[in-house]
Amino acid sequence: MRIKRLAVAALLVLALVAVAACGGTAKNTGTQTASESGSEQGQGGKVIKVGLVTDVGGLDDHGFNELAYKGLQKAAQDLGVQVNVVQSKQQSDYIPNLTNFANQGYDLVIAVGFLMTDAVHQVAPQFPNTKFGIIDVDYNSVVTDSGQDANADKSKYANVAGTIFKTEQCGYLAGVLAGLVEKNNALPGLQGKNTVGVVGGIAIPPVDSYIAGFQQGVKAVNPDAKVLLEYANAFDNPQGGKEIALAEYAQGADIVFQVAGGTGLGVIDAAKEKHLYAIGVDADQNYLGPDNVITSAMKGVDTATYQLIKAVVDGTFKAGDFTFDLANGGVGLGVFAKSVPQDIIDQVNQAAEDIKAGKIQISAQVQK
Amino acid sequence: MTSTRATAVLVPVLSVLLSFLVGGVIVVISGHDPLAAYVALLQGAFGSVFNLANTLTVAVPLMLAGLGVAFTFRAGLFNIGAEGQYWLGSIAAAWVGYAVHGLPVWVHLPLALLAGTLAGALWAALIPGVLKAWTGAHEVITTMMMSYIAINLARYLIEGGPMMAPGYTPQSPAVLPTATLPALVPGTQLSWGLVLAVLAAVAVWFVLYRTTFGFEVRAAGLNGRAARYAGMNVARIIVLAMFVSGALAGLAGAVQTLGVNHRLFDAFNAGYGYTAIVVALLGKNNPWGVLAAAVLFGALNAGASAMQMQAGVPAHLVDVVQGMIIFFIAVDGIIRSVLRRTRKEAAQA
Amino acid sequence: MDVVLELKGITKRFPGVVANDRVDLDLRRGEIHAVLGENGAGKSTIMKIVSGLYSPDEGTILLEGRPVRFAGPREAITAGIGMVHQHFMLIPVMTVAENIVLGREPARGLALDVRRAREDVRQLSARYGLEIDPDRLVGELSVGLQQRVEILKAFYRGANILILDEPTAMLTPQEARELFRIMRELARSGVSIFFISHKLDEVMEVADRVSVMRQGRRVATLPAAETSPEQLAELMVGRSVLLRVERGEHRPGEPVLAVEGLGRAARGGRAALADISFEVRAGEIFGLAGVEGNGQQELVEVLAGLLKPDRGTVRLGGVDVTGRSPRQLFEMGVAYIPPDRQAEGLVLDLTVAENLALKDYYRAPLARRGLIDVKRLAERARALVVEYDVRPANPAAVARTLSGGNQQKVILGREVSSSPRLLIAAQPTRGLDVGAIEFVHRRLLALRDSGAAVLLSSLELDEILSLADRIGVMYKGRLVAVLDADEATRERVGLLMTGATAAAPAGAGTAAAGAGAEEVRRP
Repeated sequence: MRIKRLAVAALLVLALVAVAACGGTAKNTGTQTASESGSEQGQGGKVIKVGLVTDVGGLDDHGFNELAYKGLQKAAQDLGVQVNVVQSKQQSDYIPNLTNFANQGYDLVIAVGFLMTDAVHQVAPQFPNTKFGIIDVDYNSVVTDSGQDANADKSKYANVAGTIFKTEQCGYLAGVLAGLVEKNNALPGLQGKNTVGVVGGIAIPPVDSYIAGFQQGVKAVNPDAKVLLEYANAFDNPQGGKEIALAEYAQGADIVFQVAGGTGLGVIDAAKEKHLYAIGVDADQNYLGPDNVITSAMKGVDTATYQLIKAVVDGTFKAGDFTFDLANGGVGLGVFAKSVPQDIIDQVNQAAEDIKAGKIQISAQVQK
Repeated sequence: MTSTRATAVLVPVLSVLLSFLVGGVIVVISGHDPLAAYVALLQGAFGSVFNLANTLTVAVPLMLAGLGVAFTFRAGLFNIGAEGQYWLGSIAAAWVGYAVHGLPVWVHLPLALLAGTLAGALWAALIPGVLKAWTGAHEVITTMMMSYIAINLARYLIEGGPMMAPGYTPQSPAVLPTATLPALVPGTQLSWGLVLAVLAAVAVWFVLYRTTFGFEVRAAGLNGRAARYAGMNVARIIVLAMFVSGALAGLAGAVQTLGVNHRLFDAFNAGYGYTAIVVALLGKNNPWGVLAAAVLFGALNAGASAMQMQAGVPAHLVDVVQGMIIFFIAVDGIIRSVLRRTRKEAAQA
Repeated sequence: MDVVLELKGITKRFPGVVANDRVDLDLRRGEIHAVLGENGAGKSTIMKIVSGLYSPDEGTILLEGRPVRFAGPREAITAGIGMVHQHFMLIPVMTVAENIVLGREPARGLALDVRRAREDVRQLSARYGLEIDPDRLVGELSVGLQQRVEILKAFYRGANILILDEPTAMLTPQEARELFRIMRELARSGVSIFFISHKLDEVMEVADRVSVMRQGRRVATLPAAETSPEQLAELMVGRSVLLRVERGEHRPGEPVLAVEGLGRAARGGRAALADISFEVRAGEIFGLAGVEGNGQQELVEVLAGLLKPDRGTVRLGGVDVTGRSPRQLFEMGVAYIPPDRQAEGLVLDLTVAENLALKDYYRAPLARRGLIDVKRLAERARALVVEYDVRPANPAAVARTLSGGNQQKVILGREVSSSPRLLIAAQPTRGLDVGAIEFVHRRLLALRDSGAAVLLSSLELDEILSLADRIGVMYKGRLVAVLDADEATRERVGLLMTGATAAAPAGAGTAAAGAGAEEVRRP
């Protein structure tokens, strides 16, 4: 019967694939062993392998993952490291993906984002010879699993580095910009109430540090200015973000700083609708509204990724935190809107120099 | 007889092979080596104990939820809300897992599993099941709606709600060690949930083919009118079938929470409850078929990373293959008719 | 008479079966040629070959003496051969005219020339005496009229040979009679007709010649006038068949079923029931006659527990069982053979064994504490398929693969083997061939003789007349008469079925059974 022939054919195909698979396994184990023995010999002259594991946002998230990948590619070009990236499709992929890189003898495995804290906490102690870096999470959070495992043994995490962004610094610069614009009535269409606003995502430290810097920056140049602050209590609610922004504009705010992830996209929408202004966050968001997004307070995830890799190449990688600030280019402002006067930009740049020089101290505590 | 049974196995197998073929063409078009990609995929899925464990880790929730969906299919119901039942099970298991203190493991763990199972069961039976049985409200609509409610409930609970752990990560506290499903293979995420899933498949088979309730489910599912004429209480069968189905999906959530995630957190994009529908269809609603289909999907998932790492093929290609499988299942009438034709030709030749 | 179509040595094989084995058949001009055979005898296959749906493996087809070979139905219709299938191929939302011209539309530019289509159809129906309103929507037509549309469709495409595949299967007796009149007129006007059937009386009534098929072969061709139903039945089945099963003496016992003042309003597409009262006694068959849709089925379903009555009582052995569930009634000894065996009587995708257990799967000896004893279930099924002559005698066969007659035997086996006090049989022989009908009839009579009460509802008046000891006639939801068998003539019952009670003497009291011949007229 024909059906039997078909069944046999199907089985044959399966068998062929299986044979191919076995062959592949054998071959690959070979290269794997080689690289492992290589890494034992130390890093001198040996090509360093770096693996990047994205969170579920994927490589094209217009945010952390994409920036981290940018830093990874730059490192591949400039530093001659061998890089590889794997995108996590779901939460339970984090541990296997990290483990896979470690198993294959990668020297550095970089995890992107706080969602992976728990995974790094679990995987890192199992691979003492592999270095792990995590983006936007501090070392202590990895060791204690965000405070859940308070008694964790730090010595098991000698191969882990966290990254901290001094976002209060770029928040401060954004504040200086906003304060000066208000003071000098420097942009078209301002309402003249000397008021700016902030829309926060959720009141958590990485959000609040931006906001604290912003508040201090405004006050430093424009002590009478009023700074409105409202949290959306969500990172994924653009409609809610838009409503809050519209309310703040109605109260006289001319510039609204969004520190709210996806929610913040609604803030930019509101700015365009009202022909007023917004300040972007994390990445350069000027392209979302070239006339309305006057600048962006950026977290240099690409820089941080690059620096982590460079530290491994240079042999300076050590447990603890890598701190990123204005001085090392880990935080900063993005593109300015064309309408922002040059003298204001100059004053913002001056403030940046003062921060780098240690002349200005900024707190990460929000004034509520 | 034998030929219908052969068809029952051959059709899903051909669906899968065809989807791999189409996927391979896409790999070629995207400028990669399809053989290398599939070798990497297979190796990443089955190439080592660790990889196999990864495959099975993903397969476990799909097995359990898939069995649940298959059970309602058998009863002639289309429970597409396994996702919601899964989350209810996760919520209940996580809560019992971290909030109940001072129990020995042999009480705490079963209690947490039971809580998840029961939560999923009631979520499916009380509203969609009862509504269908008494008012005829279509379960596709009600289970779907209940899914949204469950997902958003879970989201609320961990995003500033009462189950959010201290700190700012949207997640619940970790379940206590006494409520943790231990690892089956040390150093991997594969827990004893696998054993539970296989036992569940045996139980589903036994219920379907060896109990009066299973007999009623199969009869009512194939011909509800004849079942009613034969004196069966079809309303009762509907509610109970939904209960069993929800219980399995809820157990899937509990197993995932207690064995893999160890807490409730934002993992809503995994969508095990939705993939479970495809798993049930591919497995032809047969318990063993469901196990096999779940392993296939687990392998696709686990192998995707390897395919990406070793062959440089984007992981999303696996989504394409999965989509193709769904497509070929949906059009399995085509495959059937091709089989029929070749068979007829063979007969005439 | 000259031969228009001749089949010579047609053989058609399917995997595992020879559907047609060297079949010779000829059709004369203006003749109605019946092709008679049991289900699966190969009569449909040979007609599908004639109409181009199948191509023969061997043999030749001569049309007007010339050999032809059809690659498809389109070529057959071009050659003048039109087939009207048992299941119509009409589009309900289109008008009669549109359906008829579909595929060969008279066009004006790209648009359908509606006026011409309508005119064509009108001429056609006038020429063949097939009256029909071309502008009605097909979905609104009765089954008989839809069939007329199918026939007109064939003529519109130039058919002069017509193949009617079981044309009366879906028709009421009145519609069937009308169809036969039309067939005779068509034949007179020169149309040649192949008439496929398995019903002897139809064939005797309308055919000029009869070819009998059995197991893929043509076993005989006889002029209808020179044969008898008995001879045809024997040819069909291959053994002598009793068309009228002998009924033993009527010895009624205690009343088993007593219905009093039963009523139910029309709703959900179901006919109304009004004030129905009667009894069925042990050891008798009570026949329920009526034209379809006069409430027989609703009455039967109320008695089987499937519909709830609004008024009245049902007693079983003196116990009030009104409104009890099918399961409760089953446990009290009520068995039910539903009219639609595929939709209601069987779960087609379960096995024969499972279907045999469909009612008592839950209790000893088949199950204990919720667990099914698979071995017992199979053992009992093995015994039953032998006892009820189910073929193939394989309890593991899926019910769908069985022929209609064997499916009915499964139901019969299930219901009768439960030793019921009351068997309700609704159209138990619908669609069956003579051999299976005989089997069912014997079993019903055997059950009656064993002392059970049997309520037989049937649309086949002959069946009721030959089996029932007493006959109740339903008309518009009422039981208009209850007659004893010996006074129930075909004419009298037929008249009552059409509501012509005015002619009958008015009875005074109720239609309580046992009161003998009593025709009840109600306001």
